[in-house]
Amino acid sequence: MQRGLRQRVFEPVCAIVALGAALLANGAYAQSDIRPREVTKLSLHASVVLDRNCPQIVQPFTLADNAASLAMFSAKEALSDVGTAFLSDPAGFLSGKRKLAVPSTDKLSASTRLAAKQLNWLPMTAEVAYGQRQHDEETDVLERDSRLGRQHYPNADRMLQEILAAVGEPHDYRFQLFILKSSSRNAVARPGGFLYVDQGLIDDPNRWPKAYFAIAHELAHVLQRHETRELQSNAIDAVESKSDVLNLVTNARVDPNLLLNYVKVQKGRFTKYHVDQELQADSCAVRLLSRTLDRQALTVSVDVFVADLPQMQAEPASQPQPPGRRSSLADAGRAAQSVQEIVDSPVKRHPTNQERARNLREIQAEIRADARGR
Amino acid sequence: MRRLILCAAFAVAAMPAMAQRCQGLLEAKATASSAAQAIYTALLQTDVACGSINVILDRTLNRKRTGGRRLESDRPFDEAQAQSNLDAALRDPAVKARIEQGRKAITDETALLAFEAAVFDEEGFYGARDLRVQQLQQRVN
Repeated sequence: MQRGLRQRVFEPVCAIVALGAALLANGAYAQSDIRPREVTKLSLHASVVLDRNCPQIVQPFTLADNAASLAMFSAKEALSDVGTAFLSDPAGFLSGKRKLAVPSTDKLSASTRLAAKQLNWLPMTAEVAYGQRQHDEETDVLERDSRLGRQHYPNADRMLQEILAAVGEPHDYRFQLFILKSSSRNAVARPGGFLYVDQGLIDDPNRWPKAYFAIAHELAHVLQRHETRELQSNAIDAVESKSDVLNLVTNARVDPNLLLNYVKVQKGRFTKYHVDQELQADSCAVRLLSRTLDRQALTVSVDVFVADLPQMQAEPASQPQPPGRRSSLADAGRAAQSVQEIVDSPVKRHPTNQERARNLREIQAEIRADARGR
Repeated sequence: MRRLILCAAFAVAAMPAMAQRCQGLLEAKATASSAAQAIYTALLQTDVACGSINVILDRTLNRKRTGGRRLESDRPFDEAQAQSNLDAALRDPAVKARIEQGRKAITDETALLAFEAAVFDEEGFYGARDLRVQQLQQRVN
C-alpha cells in the first residue's frame, strides 16, 4: 500500500506524450528538476485511488514529472515518434527551441483519452480559474467585513493555518477559506484551493473538533487533486482528436479560458463522490490532524465527525439494527433511494457511515503503530 | 412630468446607501423573472445588506447549488429546528425591532417575507431564513 502512488502506471500514448512535452516546452522547468517515473500500464478509472491510507499528503506527481514519465515510457516502448523525439533533445523542447509536430494519426483512442484523464497536466492557472468561476457563483459566503464575519473568520483562519502548518510538503496552492451562511455542519472544496465551511461549524466552540476534521478533509481533497482530475476528465471528454488534446493542453497554461470553454461549469453539478477518494481524504485528514492535535484531541475530532454524519445512507445489510430501532416509512424510502443509487452507481457514491468509521479506525491504529515503532 | 422626476430622485436619495450599491450588482439577476424583480425592488428599499438580498434571490429562485466536493451528504430541511430558530430570532431585541419596523412599513406579503428572510440572513438566523425562503418559494414558483 505504501508504494501505491509510486506504482501508478499508464499506457503509452503518443498524443499524451506530445501534450506533456509541449507543456514542458511552454513552461520554465529546468531539466534537472524533472524526476520521471516508470509508467507501465493504465488504470481503468480516471479517479482511481491506489492508496487510501494517504502515505503522502500532497499528490506527488508534478506536471513535469508526469509528462517526462510518459515520454520516457513511450520511447522505451518505441510506440511514439513524438516521445522519442522529446527524449532525443529534451533541452531543446524545454527551452522552446524545438516545436512538436501534431501526431500523424489524429484519431483519439479510448486509451489515449483515459490516459489524458489520469495525468496531472492541468496548469495551476487553469485550475484556479475554474475554482474562481465556481466561487463567483457561490452566493452564501459570509462577508469578512460583516459583523458576523469579523466574529467568526479569525477562528476559522486560525484552524486553517494550524492545519496548513502540518502539511510539511511543498505545494503550489494558495488556500482561501470562506464561511458559508448556513447553520449546517458541512464543508466544501473546489479546485484551485477554495475551501468552505458552514458557519454552524465555527460559531459554536463545541463543534470546533469537527471543524478541524472538516477543514483537514477538504484540504486533502485539493492536495490529492481529486477535483483536478475530475476537471481534466470533463475537458478531455469534450475533445475529439489528438490535435485538439494537444491544442488544449499546450495553450491551457497561457489561456485558461480555452480549457474552461471545453468544460461545462454547470450550477448544481456536484462531483459524484468516489468512495475511495472520500476515504483517502478522511485518512489524510487524520494524518494532518495527528501532526497538529494531541492524541486525545484527535480522537475527539474523529469521534465527533463520525457521530455527526447524517444518518440517511443505506448501510450494508449484514449490519444488525440496534434493538428497538424501527425505521419510519420516510426512513425506509430514503434508504431505498440510497440503495438504488448505490446499485446504479457502485463506484460513484459517498462512502457509508460504517465504511468511513472503519477506515478512520484503521488509519488511527496505523498512526499509533507508527508512533510506537519510532 | 417634473413632479414624477422629482419623486424618482427623492426615492433614490432616500434609498439606503447599502441598497444603492447593490443596484448594479443585482439588477441583471433580478430581471430574470417578474417574481425576482418584485423581491429585488422591495428589498432595495430596505436597509438589508446587499449580500443578503443576493442570498434570498438565489435561494428563492435558483435552487441549484454550485459544484464542489462535499464533506458529507446534505441534510434534509428540518422544519422543527427552523421554527425553533425563528422563535429565537424573534426573541433577539435587535432582530425583533427590525422585523417589527418592516411589518409596519411593508404591506405586500411576499415583499415582507423576502425582507424578513434577508434580515434573518444578515443576523445569522439561518434556520429562520430558510423557513421564510421556503414560504417565498411556494408563492413565487
